Amino acid sequence: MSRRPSRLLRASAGVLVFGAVAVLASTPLLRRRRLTVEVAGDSMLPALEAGDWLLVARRPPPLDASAFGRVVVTRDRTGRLLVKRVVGLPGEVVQIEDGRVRIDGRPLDEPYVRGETEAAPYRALTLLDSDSYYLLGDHRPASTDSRDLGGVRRDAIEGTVVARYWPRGRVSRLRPPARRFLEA
Amino acid sequence: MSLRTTLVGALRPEQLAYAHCDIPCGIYDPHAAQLGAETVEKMMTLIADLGVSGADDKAHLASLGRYVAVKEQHAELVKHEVRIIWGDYFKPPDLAVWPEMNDKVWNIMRVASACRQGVNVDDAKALRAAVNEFAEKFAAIKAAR
Repeated sequence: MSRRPSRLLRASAGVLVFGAVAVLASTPLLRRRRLTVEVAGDSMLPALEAGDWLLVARRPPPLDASAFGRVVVTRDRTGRLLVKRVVGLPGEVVQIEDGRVRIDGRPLDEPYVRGETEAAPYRALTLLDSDSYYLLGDHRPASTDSRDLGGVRRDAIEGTVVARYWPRGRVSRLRPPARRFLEA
Repeated sequence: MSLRTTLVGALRPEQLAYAHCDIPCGIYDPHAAQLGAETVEKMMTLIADLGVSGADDKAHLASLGRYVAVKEQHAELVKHEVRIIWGDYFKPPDLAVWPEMNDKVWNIMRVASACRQGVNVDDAKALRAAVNEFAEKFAAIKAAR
């Protein structure tokens, strides 16, 4: 039992983070506003790995441009929870062309993506309603998302991922990437 | 220790959120590329066998048109399928198993383009051989992982 202080410190720091999330996630009052989920599958690599535990705030993404890049949770037709990233905003035209996503014709710069973005047949262009978002998995070749499902309505989005609280080494807040375009 | 176990229990997420794919993703198979190359060769052979006919022989022209269209499609399909495995499945460490990978894939792209442009049966045979080699190396790399 030769515990060095650094290890002890690290261990207690981990417990502290845990404790904080435990309070956030399990307090009955907050339960209605928070949700915790475990990631299954690889479609959000490299940002999220299978087995990651996420803290989700039960609120839809904002209607303005700050919604871009947020990771959200919605349900598919079978009622299964899905975790995907907001790429297209209400009212925008999303196109998949030459392995890239174009927003209103401008190619997006997407450093968070793995693999090439391919369009589903007959779904190369999507016009988003004033209350719908275009959601994509970061690992494009391994994701079923708005390319197949079309835009997702705001009221169908169950929450926005705030942070990953497990595994301990990868505890972090999930910040949306900046929206950048490649020069046309 | 037990405090931690308790905490972990309390913190376990309520449900799973799928970062998923409905199609069998993660399953890569060079078979489609091989079939494509085989089709290209078959079409080249049919074109060669078609011979020459009068310029106003509509049936002859229709056959030729179909063979050419299918040949173009399948040569492109070969490029597409090979590119997906090359880009998404192969990783830098796989070069240890197949050091000439990048040159060989480049060669497939070029030969497949030659097959689209021309009607040389030898190009089609070369494409088929190159794609078969690609498939063999794919199997070797998969086995080595």
